[in-house]
Amino acid sequence: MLKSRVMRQCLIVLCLAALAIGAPSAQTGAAASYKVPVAYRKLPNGLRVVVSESHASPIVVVEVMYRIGFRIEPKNRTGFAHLFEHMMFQGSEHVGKFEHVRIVNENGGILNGSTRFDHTNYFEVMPSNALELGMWLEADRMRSLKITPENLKNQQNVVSEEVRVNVLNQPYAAFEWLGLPQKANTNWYNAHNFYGDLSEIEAATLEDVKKFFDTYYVPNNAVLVVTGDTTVDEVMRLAEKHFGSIPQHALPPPPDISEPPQTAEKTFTEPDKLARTPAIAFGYHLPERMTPDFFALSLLDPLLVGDESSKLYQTLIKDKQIAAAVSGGFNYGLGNNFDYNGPMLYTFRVDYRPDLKGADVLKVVDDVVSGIQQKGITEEELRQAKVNMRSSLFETLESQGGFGRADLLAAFALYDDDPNRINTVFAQLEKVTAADVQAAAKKWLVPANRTSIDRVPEKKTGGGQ
Amino acid sequence: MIRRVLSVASVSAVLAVSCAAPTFAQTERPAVGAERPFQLAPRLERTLPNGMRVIVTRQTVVPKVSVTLTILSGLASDPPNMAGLAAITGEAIQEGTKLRTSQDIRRQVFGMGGSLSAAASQDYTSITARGLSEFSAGLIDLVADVAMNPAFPEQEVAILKQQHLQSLEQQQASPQFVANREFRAHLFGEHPYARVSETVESINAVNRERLGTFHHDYYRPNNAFLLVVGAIDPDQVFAAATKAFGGWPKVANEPPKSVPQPSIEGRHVYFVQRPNSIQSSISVGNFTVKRNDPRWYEMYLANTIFGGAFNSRIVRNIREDKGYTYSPSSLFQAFRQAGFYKFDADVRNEVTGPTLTEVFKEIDKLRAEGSDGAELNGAKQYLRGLFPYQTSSQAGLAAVLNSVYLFNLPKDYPETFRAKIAAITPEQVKAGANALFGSGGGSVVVIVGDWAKVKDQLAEYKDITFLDISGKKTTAPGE
Repeated sequence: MLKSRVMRQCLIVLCLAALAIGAPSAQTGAAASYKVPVAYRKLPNGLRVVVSESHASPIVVVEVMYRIGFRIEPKNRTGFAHLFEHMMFQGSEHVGKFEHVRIVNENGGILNGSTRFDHTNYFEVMPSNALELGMWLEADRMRSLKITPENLKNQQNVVSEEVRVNVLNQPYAAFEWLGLPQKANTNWYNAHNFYGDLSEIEAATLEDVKKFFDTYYVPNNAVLVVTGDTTVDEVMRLAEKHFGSIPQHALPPPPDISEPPQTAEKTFTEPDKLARTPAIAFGYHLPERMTPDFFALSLLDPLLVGDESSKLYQTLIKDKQIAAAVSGGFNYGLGNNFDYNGPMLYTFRVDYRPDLKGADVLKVVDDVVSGIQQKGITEEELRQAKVNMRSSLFETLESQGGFGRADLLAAFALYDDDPNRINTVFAQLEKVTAADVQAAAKKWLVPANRTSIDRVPEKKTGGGQ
Repeated sequence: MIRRVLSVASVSAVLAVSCAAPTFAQTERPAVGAERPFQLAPRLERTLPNGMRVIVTRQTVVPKVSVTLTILSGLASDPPNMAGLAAITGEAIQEGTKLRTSQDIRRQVFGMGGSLSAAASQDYTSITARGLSEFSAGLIDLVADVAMNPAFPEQEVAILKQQHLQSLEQQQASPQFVANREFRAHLFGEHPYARVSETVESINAVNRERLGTFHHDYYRPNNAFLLVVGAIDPDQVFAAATKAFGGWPKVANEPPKSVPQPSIEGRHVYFVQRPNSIQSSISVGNFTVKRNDPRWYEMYLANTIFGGAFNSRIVRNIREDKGYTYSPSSLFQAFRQAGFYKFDADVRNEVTGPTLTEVFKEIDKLRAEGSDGAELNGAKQYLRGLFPYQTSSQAGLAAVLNSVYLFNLPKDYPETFRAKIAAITPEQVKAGANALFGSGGGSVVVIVGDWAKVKDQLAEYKDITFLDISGKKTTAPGE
C-alpha cells in the first residue's frame, strides 16, 4: 500500500531477525531474567537433537536443519541447493509426491523450507497432538528420497518461475542480497548466483539429486529441533524411534570458503530496465562470527540502521533529505547475525532521490560512519542498543508459532554445537563497551572494505519529484 | 555407513531415484493423538467516560507488550480526490506532537525496545507500539500523545510527502502492485474500496490543514479502541490507559456512509501492457460479502480449498501438476461493507491462457460440486489447527482481537471460531463456493504482461480493456 512505510516495517522485521540477542545488565525484572529452556543431546548416528518446551499454546514446531546451503553447491549447478530443497517435498519411501504438504495441512499444520548460505531448513508447525506425525515425516525424507523424472521436471519449472517472479521480472532484481555478494566476493563459493542461472537449473539430473542427497542429507550433518507443547523425554524417545536407525555417512572434506581480504573499494553501476527510481546497495565484509568485533558491530547495527531513530535514517531521510528509504543488516534479506557460518557482508540499501547519484549517498554515509569512528557512541546509546536487541530477540522467539526460536536453536546447535548460546550469547554482548564499538567501526566500516552497486533506471521516467 | 541405493522401476518412472535404508524404517504413519485443549486468556474490557473502549488480555510467552490504538476510519474515509490522506495522517502523527519532536518519539521508542508504526486499511487506521512489557505505561503514553496531540510540523509533512511520491513512482515498476491496483479499481468502481493507491495529485494535495482536519474529524475516543496484549498486569494497564486517554474529548461523529456496490455481469479482462515482461501477473476475482456476514465461515473454507492453503486445488493443479507458476494463491478478504476474493499468480508468458483456463475450471468445479470427504475434513482441520498458531504471538492475537472490535463480530468469536468451522457441511461449503465466486459468474480479470507474447492465447476473451502501466485506457498494443 505505502512503500516507504512498508519498507520501514520490513526493515524492522529484518532487524528483529538480525539483532536477535542482547541483555542489558542494568535491567532487572522479567526481561533480564528471561531464559529459553534448552535440552540437547546427540544420537549415536550423529543427529543433534534440541528440545525447548513451551506450553502456552497446544502447538509444536518440528524443524530439521541440514548443514548444506547454496554456498557449496556443485560448481556447474548454480541454484542446485535450492532446487534440491524443492525435491524434498516430492516424495520419500512412505510419502508420495506433495503428500508431505497434504498430510501436514490436513492435520492442522503449516510448513516450509528455505535454503540459505550454509544450511537448508525444513519445518512444520503442528497441533501438539500431531508431534509424532511431524517427526515421522521428517525422518522418512531424511532416510529415503524418491524422485521421478516427471517430478524433477515439474520442480525445475516451478523454481524457474520462482527466479523469474523474485528476480528477473522485478525491478532491482534482488540486487541487495543476490547481486551484491557476487560483486563483493572473489571466492566462487561466496560469489556465484545462489538462485541459479535458469540454464543450470534446467540442466540438473536425477543423478545430481541422488548424489547431493547421499552426500549431505545424513543425520550427522543435521539437527532436529522440537519446540513447544511437549516434553524433553517425549521428544528424545520419538527421535530415537524415528531417526535413530538412519545410517550416518562420512562427509566430504569441506571446501575452502575463505574470502581473501578486500584491499580497495569496489563500485559498480548497473542499468535497471524495470526500476523507475534509483537505489544503491553496499556491503562491508564482516569480522568472523562470534569474535569480539562481530559482537561490537552487532550492537552498533541497531544504532546505525535499526529503525527510524537510527543514525542513517535520521541523516539521509530527515536531515539531508536525499533518500526515501534505508535498511540494512547482517546476512541481509536471508537471515540474521547468527544463522550462517562463513564469510558474510553487512549490507545496506538506500532508495535515494532521482536527481542524485549513488556516490552522493555514500558520501553522506561516510560522514555518519566517520562521526562514529571519531567520536564513538554514548553510554546511553550503548545501553539502549542492548535493550533493543533483547526486545528483538523476544520478538523472534515468539514469531511463527515458535519457529523463530527453533531456527535460532538449530543454527547454534549446527554451527556452535551449543544451542544454549541462545541464552549465553547475551553475556558476550553485555561485555561490549562503547570503545569496542568505536574501534570495530574504525576497522571494518571503511571504503576499502566496501562494495557497492548503484542501480539506476535505464530510462529516466520522471515523476516522483 | 553408506546409504544403500535402490533403483525403483515403475511404469511412469523408469529412472526413478530412490535412496533408502530399509532396515528399521518406521513404515507405519503414526496416528494423531487426542486434541489438547486450546484456551485463550480471558479478555477484560472497560469503556472510559469519553467513550473509548479499552481491551486488555495477558499473553506471556515473552516479556513484551503490544499496544494498538485503532481509529475506526481508514482509506475509505479519504475524500475522493485525496487518496492516501488517512494513511499519511497515520504516519504524520508520529512526526511530532505538542510535547515531543519526531526525534524524541523515535529515541523513546528505541529506548523501550520498541517499534511504533501505523497501518491504514479500508475501514481503519491502527497505531501500534510494541516493546518490553516493563515499559507498558510509557508505550501507552506515547501512543496517546501521537494520537491526541499531533503537531504536523511543516518540514516533517514535506519529508513524508516526498517519501510517498518516491515510493509511488517505485511501486509502478512492480507488476504485482499494478495488478492489484487495477483489480481493485475495476472491481469496486465508484465504491471507496476501489482506492488502494495514492496518486501524484492526491499526495501533492496533502498539507497541514488537510491532515489537521482528518485528524480532528476521526481521531476521537468514541471512534477508537485501545487493545493491549502482553505480559502485563491488567489493572496497571487500565490505570495507564485512563490516565493517558482520559482527557481526550469526544465529539459526535457520523458513521461512514454505506455505498452500494456496483454489480458486474460476465467476465471482463483488463490487460495492462508491460513491454518485455517475461511473466504475466494474473489476478482473477469478484465481490464478496462483508466481514460479519454469517456466510463468512463457509466462504473462508471454500477459499481455503480453492487456493487459500498450500494443499489447495489451485496449487496442486497449476504448480505441482503443471509447473506453470511458483506461488499461486487465493485471498479472501472482507471489510466492513463488502469484501472480495482474488486469485493471484505470476506465470511464464507461454502459459498465460492455459492458466486462466485452469483457474476457471477449478472455480466452476467447486461451484458445481463443492467438496466433501477427506478434502473437506482436511481443510477444516487446517483452519482449526491454524487458529492456535495465529494467536500464539502477541501480534497475531492482537490481529484476531482487533477484527472482533473492528467488524462487530460476536465477542466470543475467538472461542467459537474452531467449532463453527468444524460444523460446516458439504452443502454449506458448496453454497460458500457459490457465494465466494459469485453466482452469476461475474469476474474481473487483470493481466499485467506483454500483449504481443500472449495475445494468441487470449483469443477466446472478447471483452478486453487495454490499459497502460499507470491505468489509463488505451488501444490494443500494436494496433
